Amino acid sequence: MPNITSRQVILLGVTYIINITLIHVPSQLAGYGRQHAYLSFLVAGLVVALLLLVLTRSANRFPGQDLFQSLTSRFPIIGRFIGLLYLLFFFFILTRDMRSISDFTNVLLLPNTPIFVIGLCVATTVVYIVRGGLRTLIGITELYGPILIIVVFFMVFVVFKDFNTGYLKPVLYIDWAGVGKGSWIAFSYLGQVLALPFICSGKNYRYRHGLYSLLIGTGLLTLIILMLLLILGAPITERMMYPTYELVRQLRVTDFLDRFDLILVALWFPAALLNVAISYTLFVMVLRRSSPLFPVK
Amino acid sequence: MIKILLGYVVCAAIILFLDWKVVRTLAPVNRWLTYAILLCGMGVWAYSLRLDEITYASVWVGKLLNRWVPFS
Repeated sequence: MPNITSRQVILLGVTYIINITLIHVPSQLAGYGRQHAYLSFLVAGLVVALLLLVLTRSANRFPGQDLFQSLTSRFPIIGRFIGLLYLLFFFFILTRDMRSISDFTNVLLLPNTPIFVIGLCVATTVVYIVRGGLRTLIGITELYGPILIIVVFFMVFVVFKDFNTGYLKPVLYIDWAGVGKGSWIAFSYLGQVLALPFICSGKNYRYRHGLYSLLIGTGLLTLIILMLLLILGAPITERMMYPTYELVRQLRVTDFLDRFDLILVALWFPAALLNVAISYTLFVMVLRRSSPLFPVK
Repeated sequence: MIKILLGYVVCAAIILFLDWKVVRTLAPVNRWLTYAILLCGMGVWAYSLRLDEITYASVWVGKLLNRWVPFS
């Protein structure tokens, strides 16, 4: 297990939470929460913070081991069963993200390319990233994590003049049932931060790292959905498949710097591949440790 | 259909060729498990190419879990 610094752990958590979530989740949240869709992320974030606390305290009882190693060493059979449940969770995230990226590319970027070919390219790239090990993942995270964060804040500065605060009204009349349904959806996306205790061993990872990742990730996602609500409004956002791409298309810096969306998609795409690579790394790691047939070297 | 399955066989052969040094050093049970995983992958791929009704595992699990979703 390579030595990971706390900054790398936090960036890993942030990129794992936001990269795929930002493309299509806001439209589902806007469908339920309407103009208060941003509250869904905050409610879901609180629940996930509690889960992260419980998982981290369990992991910290076994320093030097990651959570799966400690599960299987303490309870060999039930621990493996619980580990396999987490394996299924990360496997579903992997397949969902593969589908999201292939679909996004097929719909918006390469409509004439068969979706199978796009999926094959994504899968091949991800396999090569994972073959490089955790060092490769962290290297990519160190590059694309800060880029994504800077891009989100850059978007705020560019589209700030087009904000229409009327789209957030009525402010005090909150449909809590809708916000609750939205937070149910956001919960599994923010819950991806629970991968951190599985990736990092006890000496690299503390609760505050996961909490900072969750706070920064939730903050960025809340910022993105607020921008969507303030520029596009809830009725348009809920009807779009990829509302964030539509938001990015609204970026116009000057008359000749048109099609800014291509540059931002080019910056976002490797980060999305990184997400799939993290899910696949977790899948492979948990499979190795749960199966007696694959000795851990 | 055969061409597409042959495409999978070529990809599997490339994977084995790239990792042959590692696969050769594995214990026999692990080596055969690797081959079994590749064969299962071909089975899943051939199943998904059928023209009849296909049951996707994720959709099936989704239907099972649907009854526990707190809202309709």
